[in-house]
Amino acid sequence: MSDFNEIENLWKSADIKILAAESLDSETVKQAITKQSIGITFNLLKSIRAGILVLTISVAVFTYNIYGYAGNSLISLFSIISLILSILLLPYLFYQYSSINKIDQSDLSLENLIVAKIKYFKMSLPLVRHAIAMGFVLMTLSINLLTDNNKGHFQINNTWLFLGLMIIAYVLIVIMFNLIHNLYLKQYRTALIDLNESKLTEMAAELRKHKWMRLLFLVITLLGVIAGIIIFFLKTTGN
Amino acid sequence: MVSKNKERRIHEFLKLLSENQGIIYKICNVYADSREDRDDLKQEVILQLWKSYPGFNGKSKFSTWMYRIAFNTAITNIRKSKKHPIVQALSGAELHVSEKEDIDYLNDDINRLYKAIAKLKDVERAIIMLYLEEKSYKEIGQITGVSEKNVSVKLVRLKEKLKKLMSKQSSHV
Repeated sequence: MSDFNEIENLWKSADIKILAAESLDSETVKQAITKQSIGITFNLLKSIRAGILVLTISVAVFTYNIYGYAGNSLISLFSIISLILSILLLPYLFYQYSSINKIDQSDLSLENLIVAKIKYFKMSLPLVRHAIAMGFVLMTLSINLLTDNNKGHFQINNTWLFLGLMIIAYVLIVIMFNLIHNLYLKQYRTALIDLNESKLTEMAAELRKHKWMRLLFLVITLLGVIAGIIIFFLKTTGN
Repeated sequence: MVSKNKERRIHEFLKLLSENQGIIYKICNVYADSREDRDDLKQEVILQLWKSYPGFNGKSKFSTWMYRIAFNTAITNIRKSKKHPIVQALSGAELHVSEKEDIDYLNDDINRLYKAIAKLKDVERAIIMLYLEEKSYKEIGQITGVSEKNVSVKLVRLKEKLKKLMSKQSSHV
């Protein structure tokens, strides 16, 4: 096909056939509107909802544990700190839920939308992953405190195994999310390269500025939490 | 009062969608390889349009807004595919190269055109499709976010590429 006009004519001729063969009735639209999305946004929102649910459970159970372990100052303190952490993470996840919806519902141009999504994936999503993983660990800890209770003493048969499993669970959840999200990130980056490669370079430079700060914040938080849990278990193995 | 407003919005949305429904079908034909994928993508696009409709402020044409949302949905959603997603991601930029099924109600030449377009990258398909829809460089730029100058540069290359792909398709018949 040497002349592009032939291609243009072919395309126009398809229009009539498409409109003759396809039709959008209100039933089809209503069905589509109530259908669940299959996209990355839906899966992200689902994960955040799961994080909100587990944090809500841990808030409720830690609140009860503070009352139940009133006679044990160490476990009360641990429960109070865990409760505060759960309460702080909840509005954070709600905020992220609304941020993702905002990006998804905006009518930015394709390039700007992909840039917004890549920025979200690189800047906010890593912390969201950790918040969700932390939520699951906190919920498990709160339920264990509730059930492994011997007259106000916290009792675990194998403390170090329990601690190890908590840390492994946390790490596995984060790794799993990371692997899944990186697939989508790769697709967005490819689309952006095809649209405007220089935009990717500009954005990479912007993201690099904040990278070390975010990493430092994350490392300090994780070390703090892990140290807290280890100290807690060291103290309770004597009970 | 609330439900009357909502009914009015749904009615408005349906009317605008109906007037521009060709956009949905053409994008689904370009981006989906099978009937099942086309149906899925159509539902996904309509859902996304509905979710984003409250944000439509009328500053741009409805069709321009619709193109943006529909292309974004098609390009940035990973769709069902025969290939495992990890293998897809590792294979590089052309993540959606799979055998495209013929569309029943279109003739062989048009199906060959769709197959040729399917061999372009996701974003290239958007640009060439908008050009074939007789959108100006300015409109193509508004929808894709690419500058008018870049649009014209990309189109020179894409038109040549598409002509070559169509010639290859014809010689295989």
